[in-house]
Amino acid sequence: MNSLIPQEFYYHLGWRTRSAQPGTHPTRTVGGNADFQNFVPFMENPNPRRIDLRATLRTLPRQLMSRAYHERGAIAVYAVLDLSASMRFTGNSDKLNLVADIVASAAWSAVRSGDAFGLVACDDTVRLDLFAPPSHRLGLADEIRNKLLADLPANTQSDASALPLAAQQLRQKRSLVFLISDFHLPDALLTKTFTSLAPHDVVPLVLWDSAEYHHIPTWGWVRVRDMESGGYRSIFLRPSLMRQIKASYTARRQTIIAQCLQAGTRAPFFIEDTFNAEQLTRHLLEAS
Amino acid sequence: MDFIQHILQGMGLESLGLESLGLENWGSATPAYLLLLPLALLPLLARGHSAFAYPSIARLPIDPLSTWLECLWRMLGALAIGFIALGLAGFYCGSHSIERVGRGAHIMLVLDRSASMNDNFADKANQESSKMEVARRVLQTFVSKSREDLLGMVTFNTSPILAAPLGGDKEAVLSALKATEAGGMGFTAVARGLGMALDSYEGKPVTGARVVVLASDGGAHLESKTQDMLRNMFHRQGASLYWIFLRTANSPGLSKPEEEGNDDAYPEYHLHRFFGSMGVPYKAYEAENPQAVEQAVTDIARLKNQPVRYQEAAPRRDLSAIFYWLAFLCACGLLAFHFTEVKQWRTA
Repeated sequence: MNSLIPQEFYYHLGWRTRSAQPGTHPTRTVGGNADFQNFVPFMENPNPRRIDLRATLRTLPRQLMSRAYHERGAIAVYAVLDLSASMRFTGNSDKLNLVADIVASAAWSAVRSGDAFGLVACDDTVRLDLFAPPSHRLGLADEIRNKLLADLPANTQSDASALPLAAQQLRQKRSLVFLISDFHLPDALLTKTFTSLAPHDVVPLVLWDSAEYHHIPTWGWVRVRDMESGGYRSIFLRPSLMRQIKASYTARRQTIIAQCLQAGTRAPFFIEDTFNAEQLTRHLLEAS
Repeated sequence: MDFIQHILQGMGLESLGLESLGLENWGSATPAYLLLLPLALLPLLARGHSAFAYPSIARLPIDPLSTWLECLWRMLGALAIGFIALGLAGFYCGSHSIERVGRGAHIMLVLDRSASMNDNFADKANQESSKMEVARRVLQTFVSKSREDLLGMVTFNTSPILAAPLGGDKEAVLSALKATEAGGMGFTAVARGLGMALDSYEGKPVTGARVVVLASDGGAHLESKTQDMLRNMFHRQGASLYWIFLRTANSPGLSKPEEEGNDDAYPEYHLHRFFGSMGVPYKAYEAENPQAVEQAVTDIARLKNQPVRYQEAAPRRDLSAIFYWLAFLCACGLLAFHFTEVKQWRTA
């Protein structure tokens, strides 16, 4: 387990951070040599190597111009984790394993691209025992992954009511936040969570299992128990009901997308059973 | 049991007005089991059946059919338990008596079960069978041939036993006959057997000819005092006597004239003579003759009979079988539910 190298994905910011830490992301800080900002009078940026002759010739009255650049900086990447009871569902995949994989992958990718990675996990309280402050440490991915896999729930019916409090644990500066949850949350809680995370660049990762809605028996009588509320429902599965369940999940998907759009987060990324870093990369680079 | 009856009374079960419903013949054999009835609530109230964990049932549509089936499932469980409790309580209806009209004679069978009946029967054809077997066979044919007669049965050896009281129940008599398969023992107290048979006519209206059918080998002496008593009883009850005589091997039978000074050697002959001298209709039949029984039946049938009204106790109808069937059907329904139940959630 320790020798497993997490999948790496790449992300791109659509905004400039104010970080002074050197890294790969565009910042608002002047300096560096790769991220062109504009032409400034030479005296504002008195670096002879940055003198631009064509810009100088375009000025009236003549004035020596030089190129100004933005610094490349690092950001903090956070995973905000919904660890409610429903995230321990085991269908065609173990959701907690999947979560650990994704978090490890995010940590690995963040550290590899020079960013700090931090973890905030919430069930009905903010889980301070799982909290990891942003760090560049090598081996962070494995460490977090093992900590998550070893985690035993204190309360078997905990919900995710502490998610809005997670924002208090984050840095003040705008960070990239992966909000990992199954999004089986009440709408009010979801809105509150999004609002609290509004200062940050939020990437919702929606974890659903195929055993939740389409790889389920097509016929038969079955009783199900809600993992969070403890509610109980007896259903007689049959093709028409299957269609209804699938339609319900499709509608839920549309609702989540609409809510994310409304909250100004990035488009949600839906993960079913297996986590594919390439697809996440494509999603992050395309939709940002 | 008494205190339970008290409890039931306290609960007002007695005052439910069964009489007003015309159900006065209903009853329960073991009402204590009715206390199990509250167990039927168990399936309705029980929670926590094994269920598949599901992240959020808010995603599942509310399905009326499923809700109904759940209700049906619980109801079936409740009904199954309820019906089993009712079945155990042993409800029955109608332990009443039916009035019947018969036109037959009143026949008392008197069967000799003395030790001498174990001896071989004097018939060439079935040398091996004892007189008891023959008597039983003869009486069985007799009973099954009689139509509307009232029948009763007395067996006797040293003392008489009322095997079946006088009534319309032919089955009881046949069962009593079957019960004589054990060998006979003791003396032949003909007089006491006949006395008991005649006693059973006492105090009953004379609505049919009274017939005493005696099946015996007649190995008995009657003292003169006993003879007088028997004669008196026969006269008082107005009964006639039919003797199915079972001849012992090497016995001369009834027709043999008496040899002088040898009275004790032929007790059956003396008995025959005494019966003939009683002054009531009397006839003897020899059992080795197959027509004898037919003859006896036709003779008895020829007797003039008035229609007989008599009360027959109808067996009460046991309703527990119905309840058990209903419980079985409920259990079948539950089994059907069990078979449609999904055993594994994941399919992929």
